[in-house]
Amino acid sequence: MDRLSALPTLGVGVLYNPSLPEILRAEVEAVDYIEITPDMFWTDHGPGSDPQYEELESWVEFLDWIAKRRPIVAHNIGLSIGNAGRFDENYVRHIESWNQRYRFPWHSDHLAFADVVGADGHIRNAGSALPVPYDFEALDMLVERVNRVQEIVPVPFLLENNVYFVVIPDQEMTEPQFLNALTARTGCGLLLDIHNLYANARNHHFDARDFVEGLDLTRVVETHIAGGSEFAGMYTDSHSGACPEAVWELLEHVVPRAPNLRAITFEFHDSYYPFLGPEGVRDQLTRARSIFARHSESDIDATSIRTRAL
Amino acid sequence: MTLRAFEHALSELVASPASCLAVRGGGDDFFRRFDLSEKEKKRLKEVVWQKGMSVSCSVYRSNRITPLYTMLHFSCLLLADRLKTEVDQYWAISDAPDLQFKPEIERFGRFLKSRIVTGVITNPYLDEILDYELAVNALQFISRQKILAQIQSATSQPESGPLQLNPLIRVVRFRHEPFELLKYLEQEKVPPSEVPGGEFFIVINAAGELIEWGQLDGDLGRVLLRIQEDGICRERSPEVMELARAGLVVPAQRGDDADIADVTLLDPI
Repeated sequence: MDRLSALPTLGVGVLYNPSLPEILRAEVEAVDYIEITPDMFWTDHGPGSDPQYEELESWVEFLDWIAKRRPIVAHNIGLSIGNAGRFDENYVRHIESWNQRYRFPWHSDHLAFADVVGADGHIRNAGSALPVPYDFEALDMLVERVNRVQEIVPVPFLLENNVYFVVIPDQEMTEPQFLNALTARTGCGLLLDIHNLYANARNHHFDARDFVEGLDLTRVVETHIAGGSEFAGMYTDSHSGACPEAVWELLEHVVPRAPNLRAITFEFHDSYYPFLGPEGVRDQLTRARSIFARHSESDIDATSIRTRAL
Repeated sequence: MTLRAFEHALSELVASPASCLAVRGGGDDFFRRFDLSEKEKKRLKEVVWQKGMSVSCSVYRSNRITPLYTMLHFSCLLLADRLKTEVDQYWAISDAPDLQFKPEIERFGRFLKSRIVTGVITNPYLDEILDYELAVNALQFISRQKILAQIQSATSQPESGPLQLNPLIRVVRFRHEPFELLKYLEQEKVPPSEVPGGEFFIVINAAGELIEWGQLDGDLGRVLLRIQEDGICRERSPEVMELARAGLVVPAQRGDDADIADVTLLDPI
């Protein structure tokens, strides 16, 4: 059996942000699992520092509280796996130490580079997650790195499709071809960010369903859903509240076609929580559960697909 | 190695609208800094014309300003229209962008301090509000339980040795009435010019579940500020003993427990 198909079905969860502790302390049952960005729970003092990763005590205390009640999934932002100048094995080992603590069913990161190495050898943060060219040179580099991640962290590793505002011209593969080649050569899974796909399709004028048709959906273990906003003539992944209808329609399209889908994560930025409110969060989770339950053949625990009040 | 150079060049363009415009202008100066293939140069020359490039540049700026605006919010309010100028200046000289909140806040804090000292920024309240916010932020990132345990252990030892500021405490000197100033800022308002002046000492305390602050008497405040700046105190004046009784200064740590001393000092700004 493929290791992805053996994964447990988690249900519907939310990506942790600073607005959530109050809600979760009141009713942690509102979510089936919590996805965390581990990087938010520490300060990285950089290579060679001792300790390199200094944990934020109050944040970790709350994480420990959640971990006793709900599964934790890691969605990292610090690997920068597409950075051709550096592959940070220390970072991967640190993720593994957190995996030992919190027993992630899987972990994920972004198919992008978030920092670069300058000609002087110094590491510079790129300010956002920038896309790698879908070329064979980048593919070969990523295959080697994904394999190394999978050697160090024994649970499945997923890569998330990136949002991009510029299209690198004259690429050797399409994005689905690149993702398919990467998953086929490494056995890694995919975190299909439906909202990123929607934003890219809208900004770059292609049909998101064609993208889905071209993708090997057996590799999709998790999806992200979110809201976004218009900015300077483009649609951005600002995670600014409720999902647009088009994202729900796309989710509805993907779920029955992704046999190994195990989780749907709603993302929102904490600065939008005052507008969304607990009712708004509950509505998004309820709708996602409804779609998951309607289409999924997985045996989601009945308690996890009940509508719950936050 | 060209993929590495391509990524570096793309990230530089995203960080610099001026470089994008230079490439649009047709010059090759930008590319001389990178070991790029002809295909990669061609890609970048096309990319700068895409609408998404200006969006990428804006997202970059938004992501970089987020930690500053979030964690030094009152200081940013005081800078008001000047914020953009100062951030641009900071980014022009800060060639190691870091989205880690703590180091980025400290670096920007040091930059603003230098601008205040040299008279470039003349806002009368910024110096003290910046000190206040840097102090609060320093306390937000410390390991409270670990330090509490170390203080517990230290206070059970003989009292004859040197003292230090309690690592869970920071003291900030205000030149204007702090309650007034903070009241306006908490309401997202820029304080008026007539906030009463004087010398006031605010103690910020992270010993409890929440960070709290209160005002300290002038004599005690001056002594506590000196201990904070010196890092160590060997005198046993009545003020020092009173501060020790209040738990604001504690026995200094040495040897295996030295990490308590490491967090005693305010991060240099």
